[in-house]
Amino acid sequence: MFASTSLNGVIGHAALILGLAACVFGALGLGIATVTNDRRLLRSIPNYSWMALVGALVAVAVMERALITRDFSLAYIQQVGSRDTPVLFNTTALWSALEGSILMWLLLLAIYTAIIMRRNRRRLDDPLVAWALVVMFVVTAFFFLLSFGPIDAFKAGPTPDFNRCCLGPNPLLQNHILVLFHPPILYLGFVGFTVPFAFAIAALITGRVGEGWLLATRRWALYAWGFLTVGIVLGGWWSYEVLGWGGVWGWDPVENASFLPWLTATAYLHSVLVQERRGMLRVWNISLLVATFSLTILGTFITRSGVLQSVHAFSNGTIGPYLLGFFGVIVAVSLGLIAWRGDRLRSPGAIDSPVSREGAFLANNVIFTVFAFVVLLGTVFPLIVEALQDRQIAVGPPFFDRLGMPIGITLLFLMAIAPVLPWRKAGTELLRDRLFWPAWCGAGALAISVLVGADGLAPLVAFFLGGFAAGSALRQLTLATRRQGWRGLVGRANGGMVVHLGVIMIAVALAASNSYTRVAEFTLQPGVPVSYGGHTFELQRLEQFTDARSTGVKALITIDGGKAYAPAITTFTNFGTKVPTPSVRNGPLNDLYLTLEPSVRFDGTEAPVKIFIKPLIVWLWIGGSLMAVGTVLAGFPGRRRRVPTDPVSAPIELEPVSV
Amino acid sequence: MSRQAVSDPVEAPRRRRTAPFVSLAIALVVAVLFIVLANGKASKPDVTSSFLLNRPAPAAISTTLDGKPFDLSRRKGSWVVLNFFQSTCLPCKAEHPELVAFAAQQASIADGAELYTVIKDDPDSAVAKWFAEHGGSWPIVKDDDGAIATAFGVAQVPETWIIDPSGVVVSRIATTITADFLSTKLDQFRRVYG
Repeated sequence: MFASTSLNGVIGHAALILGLAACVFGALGLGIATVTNDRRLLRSIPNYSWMALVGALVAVAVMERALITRDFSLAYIQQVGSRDTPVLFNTTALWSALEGSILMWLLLLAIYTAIIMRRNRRRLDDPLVAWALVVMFVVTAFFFLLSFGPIDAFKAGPTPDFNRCCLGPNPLLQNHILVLFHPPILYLGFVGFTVPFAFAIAALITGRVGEGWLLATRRWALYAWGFLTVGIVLGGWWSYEVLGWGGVWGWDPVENASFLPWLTATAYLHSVLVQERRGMLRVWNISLLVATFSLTILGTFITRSGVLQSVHAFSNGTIGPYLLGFFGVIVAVSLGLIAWRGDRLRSPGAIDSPVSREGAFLANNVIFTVFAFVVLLGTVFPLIVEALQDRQIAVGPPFFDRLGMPIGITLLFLMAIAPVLPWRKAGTELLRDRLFWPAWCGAGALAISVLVGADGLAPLVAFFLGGFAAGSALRQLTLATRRQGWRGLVGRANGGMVVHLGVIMIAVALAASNSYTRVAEFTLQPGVPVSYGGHTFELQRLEQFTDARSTGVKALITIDGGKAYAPAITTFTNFGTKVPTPSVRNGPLNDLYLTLEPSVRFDGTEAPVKIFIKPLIVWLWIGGSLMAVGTVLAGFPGRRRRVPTDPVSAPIELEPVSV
Repeated sequence: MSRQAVSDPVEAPRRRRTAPFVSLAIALVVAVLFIVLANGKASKPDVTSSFLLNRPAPAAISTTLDGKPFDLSRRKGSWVVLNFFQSTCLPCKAEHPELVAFAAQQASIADGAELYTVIKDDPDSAVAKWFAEHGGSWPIVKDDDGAIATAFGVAQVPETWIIDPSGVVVSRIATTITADFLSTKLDQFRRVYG
């Protein structure tokens, strides 16, 4: 045992050192080679990227091996490993705490760097590419340093005392298959934004802030955004399926931390179109990418430093200063570059009319930025108050709901209007013509919701605007497919409309489930059916179950005399934690969501349950899937459309770009 | 900034130096944020918040394992430490020697705190057996219907609560404790309480 022990630790440390050295040499070498125009040195640079990739791969593989072989000599395995964890959750335990999740971040970053290197290995003499790769090397080096030094992922643990250690991952992280998907996909999104950020910084350094770097990275930004979107939606699903409080989103600091970069990235994906089409908003787009990337780092800081209370927080205080420092460096360097280069890079174009596509994109950007600011403010507000007044407060869902609702409604309105707006300037005649059918769609949606008994101003406005916006998106898609056949579904504009449809589904589902959820508590007894919300619920029996790590009780409850649903309470014996598992009957209109209350007794003959009736929830997941499909469609054809004469990609050069 | 970027007049090749100023303004805002975040005390993982903090403790009336009545409100005048316990939970078991040491520490000082174990979801016999085997002579409070745990909002065992002599909840620790941690904490509270 002891031989294998030190082996895992030694190989892990060695791999991290290799990667760190490779990244440092890569960054220095590439920087020097670019400045001195040293071709020979330049040719050797890709090797450093492969070495970094090997280092990260080996580090992750060794950690996974240590988990699987239960090598309790490592401190991290003592923290998240246990002898009883099932294979699946033992594998995913890699990212169930700080050290392992930083390793995973590192691996993804090394993979991205290697891909960028591989695709551009013959273009390293292009300063834009070279500086972008320098930035990637530097960021990767930081994460290698982080996992080698401050958090020391492969630290040897004390002699394990099995009464105290080795309890396995947090019970919430060994309760559902989604733990396999949600964190990695979210990380793919977070880490993916490094690529456009690197090119944005390179554009600032080289002064080539024209559209070249955009072409190089727009698909990266799009896919990173897509992964982040899917990650966030999966997080909502997890919360709904596992946590048993009946909701999908709680405005928890860590949820906000993933939402913040999503907001700025969404703003970027829209405003970048203005730059490609009209050559405007160049500095603004760079700023949005800088904001997105620095917000992912800030989010990691918020999550991992324990500075804010959160269900996701890993209480490990040692890493905070490093992440915060890195955040400070990113912001300082980026702002310095913008201050230095900004004025020379600005395009002198102006927006002709606010009622135009670019005007709408600008409005979209303002709203998304305000939204991001509101969420950031709400997230750090407790800290500000604590700093100023030395008292602790909590900013909860009411704050975010109240401010988020009008913002969401404004965004729906923009989604209804903007797609039909032409570039440059729109007349009222044209607007009336183009908005005719979409407006009828909105009216239809409103009529249907009133007919089925919806009430309340905010949800009704949301349903109307949802229908309106869906009408606009469908109008664009119909016109496009009529013109181009199946190609009318791909490309950024059309794929974007598919994404819009997904967003609208989510908005409508959220409005409905936030406004019309009903919930009641019952104490069910066998053979005594209970009626609620037009359904009858009958307890069949309570069942106890036991496995190596937990004991639990589940209540078998039939709904309307059909199949039995089994909400459960699992007590993880190692932790003494009770984890409720809800049981959900999905339906296109209503979900019936059953939870067993923790006060249930193992020997009991009655089951205290909560029954939620939640409308339209299933459309959240359908909408999320549609957004993913739309993202793929938006990124799909690419090569064929990127001909130089393509009017969309070719900016209107209003003046030569000064270098 | 976007506004700046678009409101430049088309015909003007002259350069206004706005970027440095806008960048500086943003830098100042971020610097403030940075300072706030840097000074944000890492919220201690050992002390958990509760709506009961600095409020009168909820009613807790029951009997102890040896049949004596227990009423928390009658313990006013002394510091009370409640430890919610389950004999099947590993952290509770791991914590037990620390509680024994803590009880000894408190017994040796004049104003020592009273320690009570409150049974959480566990048969009385199992708890009695545990205490018989592993020591600990402080009173064990029954909580058959979970009323005490519910009133305090106990999330998971082990959980330890400190109640001051006027019956006000001053601390909730939702994790394992050590004897020294608890004793030091009590000393601090005593000094504040005066």
